[in-house]
Formats: sequence, C-alpha cells, structure tokens
Amino acid sequence: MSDDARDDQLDGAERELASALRSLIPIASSIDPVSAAFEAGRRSQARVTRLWRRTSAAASLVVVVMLTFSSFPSRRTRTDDPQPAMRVASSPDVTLSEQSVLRLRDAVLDRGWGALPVTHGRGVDRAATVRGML
Amino acid sequence: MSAHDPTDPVELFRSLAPALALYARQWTPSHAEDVVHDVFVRLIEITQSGKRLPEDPRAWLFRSVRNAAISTLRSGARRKRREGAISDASPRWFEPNVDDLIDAAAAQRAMESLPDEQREIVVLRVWASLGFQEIADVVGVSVSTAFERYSKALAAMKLKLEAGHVRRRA
Repeated sequence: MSDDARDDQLDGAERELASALRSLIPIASSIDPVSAAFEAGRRSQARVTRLWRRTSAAASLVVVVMLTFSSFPSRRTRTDDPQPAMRVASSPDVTLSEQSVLRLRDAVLDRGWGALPVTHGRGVDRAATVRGML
Repeated sequence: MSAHDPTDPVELFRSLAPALALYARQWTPSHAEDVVHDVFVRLIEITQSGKRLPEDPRAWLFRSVRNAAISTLRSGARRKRREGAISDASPRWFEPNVDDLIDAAAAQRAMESLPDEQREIVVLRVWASLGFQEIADVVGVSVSTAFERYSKALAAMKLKLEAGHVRRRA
C-alpha cells in the first residue's frame, strides 16, 4: 500500500491537521554545514597524525632493539670463548723503598737539591766523557 | 558533485538539519543541535574516507540522530542523577511565522503530550517527509504499526488542540 493510500485512511480533520503542522518550520539556528565540514577535516587530520606518530614510534623501537642486539656479542660466542675468571688484585705494598720517587720528592722539598743521593758509576763517567769532548 | 546532488552531505544538511534537530529534540532538547552536528560530521567523514554512503542517506541520518539522541539522553540522565536534578526548560521547537496555519506553541504542547513512540513518528512523517516504510526502518517497527501510531497521534493531537481552543474561547 502506498503512503498516499495510507494517508487516505485518515479522516479529513486529521489530514488537515497534518498539513497545518507541515506549515510550521522547525528551529535549527546554530547548525552550520561549514563548521561540520571543518570538524570532519580536523578529526580526519588528527587521525592521520596519530597514525604517523604510532608508526614512527614503532619504527624507532625496532631500530633501538636492533642496535641494542647488534652491539652485544652473541650468546654462542660467549659459550665458545668463556671469559677468564676474575682476579682480585692484591693490596699494593705501602712500604716505600729508599729510591722511590715520592721519597725523593719529599726529601728535595724539605732539604733542597742536597738531599739527592750521590751518583756513582756510569753517569759520572759519562759526564766526564762529555766534558772531555767539550 | 553538483549543487543539487541529493547525496551531497552539505545539501542533505541544508535540507534536513531543521527536521533532524526537531527529531533529536524529542529526547534531548538542550543537546539536539550538537547531536545533529556530530551526525553530519560522521557523514562527511564517511564521504571523505571514500567509503560507500548509506543506501538511503536520509533514513541513515534519522536513524543515527535517533541513536545519538537516545544515548545523550541516557548519559544526561546519569549526569543529572549525579549532579542533582536540573530544570530542563523546553525550548521552542518552531520558528514563529505569521503564515502558520496553526499556533506553534499550541502545536508544540499537543506534541509534547504524546507518548514518545507516537511523537517521533509524527516528526518523521510531517517534517522529514519520510514514507512509512522508511519510518518503519528508522524506528524498528512494522509499517502497519508505524501508520497506526501516526493515526493515533494525529487523533490525540486534534482532541488536545480542540480542547485548548474551547478553553480559550470560554
């Protein structure tokens, strides 16, 4: 049954009321197609931006993971070539010898050049030789 | 896209926005225009993304507005319960016009007195000019039920308007 045929089933007063109601114009003051189109564009742009951010973040993560793994030796190498056992160094000998540089320095600072030990042997011979050359 | 393409969202917007806003107002008077705006944004997004438009964009728009308005009504009811009841003054539904064949305020009062399921069918038939098959699809009832509700609504409104008219004359 068509819509017109159904409308014919209404009584005259009801049809009249329906056409009177059609003369009323509904209010739609603040609805603007331009702002709707703008909003749609903004949302679409935001979606694209979000997608790019996620893609670049995922790519960065992959790169970081690859770099991290490539900078370490593989496990197989470690098992084939075990690291030598760690050795704990013994505590250094704190007793300074008579000829230690530290002792000599302290002595020179206290008593001047005269504190230096007397040299014998080859050094003197060499000096004499040089003097002789001059 | 031509200026008179019936599936052009902007054309649809211009021709249907007032009826859609009136339809949304049946559930959510204060957010009706926001609801219509959001539905149009979705329609434009569908067009821009290259997806196929709904087969009957008019029916799709009314169905979407209905769903969004009911959803807004529910969330609004929850918010009101949380914040305490706020008076929701019913705004005017129609533009005042000297050429109107019926008093706009009286018609609105008569409409407001109808049950929801009858009132929405009057809006869809009278202001959206949807056929009964389309109305049945939007509302989710049979065609005969849609017509029955429409007929009952008009009869009830006629009585209400006549009673108001008699009271005013008395």
